[in-house]
Amino acid sequence: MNEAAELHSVIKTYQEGESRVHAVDNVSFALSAGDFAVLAGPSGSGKTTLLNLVGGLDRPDSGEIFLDGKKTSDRTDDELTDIRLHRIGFVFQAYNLVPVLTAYENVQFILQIQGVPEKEHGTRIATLFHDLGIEGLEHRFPPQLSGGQQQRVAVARAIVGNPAVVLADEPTANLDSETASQLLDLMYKMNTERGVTFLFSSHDPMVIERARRVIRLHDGKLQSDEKRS
Amino acid sequence: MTWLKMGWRNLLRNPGRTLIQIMVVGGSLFLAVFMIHLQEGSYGKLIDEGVRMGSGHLVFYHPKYLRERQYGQLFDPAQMLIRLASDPRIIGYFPRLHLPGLARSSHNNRPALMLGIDFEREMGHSPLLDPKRVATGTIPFGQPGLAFIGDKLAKDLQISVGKKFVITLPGNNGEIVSKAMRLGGTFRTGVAQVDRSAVLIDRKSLAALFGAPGLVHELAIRIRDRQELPALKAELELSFPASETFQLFSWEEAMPEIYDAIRLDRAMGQLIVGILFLIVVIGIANTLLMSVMERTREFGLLRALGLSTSHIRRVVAGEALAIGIAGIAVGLLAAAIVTKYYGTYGLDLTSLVGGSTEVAGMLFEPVIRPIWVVDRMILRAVVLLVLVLLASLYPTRQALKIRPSEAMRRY
Ligand SMILES: Nc1ncnc2c1ncn2[C@@H]1O[C@H](COP(=O)(O)OP(=O)(O)O)[C@@H](O)[C@H]1O
Ligand SMILES: [Mg+2]
Repeated sequence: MNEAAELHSVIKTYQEGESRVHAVDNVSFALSAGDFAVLAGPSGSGKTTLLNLVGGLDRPDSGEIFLDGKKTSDRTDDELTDIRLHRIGFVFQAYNLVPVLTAYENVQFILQIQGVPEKEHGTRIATLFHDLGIEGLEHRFPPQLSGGQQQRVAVARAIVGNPAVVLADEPTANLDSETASQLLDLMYKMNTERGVTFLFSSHDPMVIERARRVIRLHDGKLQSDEKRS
Repeated sequence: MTWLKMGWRNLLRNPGRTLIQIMVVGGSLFLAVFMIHLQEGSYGKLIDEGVRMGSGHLVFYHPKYLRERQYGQLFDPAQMLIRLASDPRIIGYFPRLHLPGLARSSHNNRPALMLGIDFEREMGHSPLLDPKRVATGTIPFGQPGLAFIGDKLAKDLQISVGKKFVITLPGNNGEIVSKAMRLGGTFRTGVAQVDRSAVLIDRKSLAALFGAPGLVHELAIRIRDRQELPALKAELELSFPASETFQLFSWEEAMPEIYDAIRLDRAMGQLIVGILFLIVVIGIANTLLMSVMERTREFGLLRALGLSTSHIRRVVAGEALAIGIAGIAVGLLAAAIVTKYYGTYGLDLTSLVGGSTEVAGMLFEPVIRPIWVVDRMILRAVVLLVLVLLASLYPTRQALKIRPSEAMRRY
């Protein structure tokens, strides 16, 4: 199976006053295409830092990162921007959507910037909204959507550009457990039906148990990596 | 989704601030445009006044007459008079003689400027022949022996209508010539120099006295529409190419003091508008910067999603453009309404300046009618739009400094 993302001995440290914080400490693993993996670990264990490195929002101090077999850890800012646009889908914990764009426009925005022909937009977005159960909300602005609905639109936006991997940083942290569970169901559905590769983070056991692969972080170090069927 | 639409929606998030920005842009453009209309309106008046009083829109002189004013610098206007009579663009043409000399009565003598004019021709054009300005007597049409002089001069000479006085001047052959005239009437313009020295006499009899029948110093032409001036000038120059005895001049050349005053005033106007626009740009830049800084997380998100440097530029420029377009629409509309209104009714500055004023030796009624100057109106609007867009440069720089990983973590 080909690898969606690979990390080799990745280190990222932050200078915090006098002391150095090893936010990500010599982490290596490979994410296969089609994975539905969780980065698990308590707050401060380095989950966000690691996702930012994979997603090209940051560069590691040392080590190498590959996306789709291509090295990304030594790219310029402009090249990373282009990689984020075409190869990565992001879902953040909250305030994911551009407030002045409707649900539909938030998703379409990505296609426009990617340069996808206008005539393809309609059907691509419509099927996603249908599959994610947010039909009829197309013309609402983010403040008129519930937290769960906002996260579904964010998932639609992350998927619409056909990225190599969708990175979701604690996507359920701001949701109640019922809504969180529904969102995970939908993410799982996207994974199985469309083959979308997911790497998401959480410290919530209920969320972690839904993943097919659990990568545990502790103080920036990779503690365990278990696959379930 | 166009960047402009997105910019407009972003502006609507803070309607109060946006309204102020639109008013600032609109207000400054209104001032800049209305100022041109008002300035050009007053220049038009100044030129018309100058043209009627003095040399016309176009004027034939001896090539050196404007500089030297020698009384021997004469020319024969016969051919030109034929050509000018048949042109519908020309509403009047006035052959004149200007001869400085002395006016003498039994009581006194005074330096005077003898003006040989065709009274019938000048009627309705020359402000000196305005019936409203007749002080005593009447305008002496068809009475070559009568003179029409400034009322101050009449007072100095202590003469009244019907009384005799003598004019003395150097003749064309170098000898002094003089002639007794009878006073037909007096005028009062309010311009001291004119009222104190002008003596209007029938041109043919003055030419005979001077010893140059049929010759003139000046042939002034007044035209229907100043827009037609360049074309007409070119045509006349073709028919009457500059020679040793005459040359065609435009009002700018013939009345450089008016032309220079206008140019200076225009430059001042441009300076003021420049300063105004600069202040506007600083204000807009400041507000855009505020709006960018308030949305650090949002710009971080856009960067995280893969918007490039030029995309971010367009997001900020979209906002600037929306303000610019709305402001320019407001400004142009206001300028149009106000120009139309005062163009019809006139803007009366009498209370500001206190009665009529004298500008460059001419009487100037302080009621100004603004006129449309479409090309410069559009130019100023475009310049302002470009400046507002430039105002987005610094805020854009700040937006580009936002690192997405930090913005997403902190805000
Ligand atoms: N910009 C930063 N500057 C200094 N320290 C940071 C910075 N970002 C993260 N850290 C530190 O790195 C560690 C890992 O943080 P983070 O990746 O946010 O963990 P998690 O997402 O698992 O909560 C923490 O100790 C945090 O304080
Ligand atoms: Mg985190």
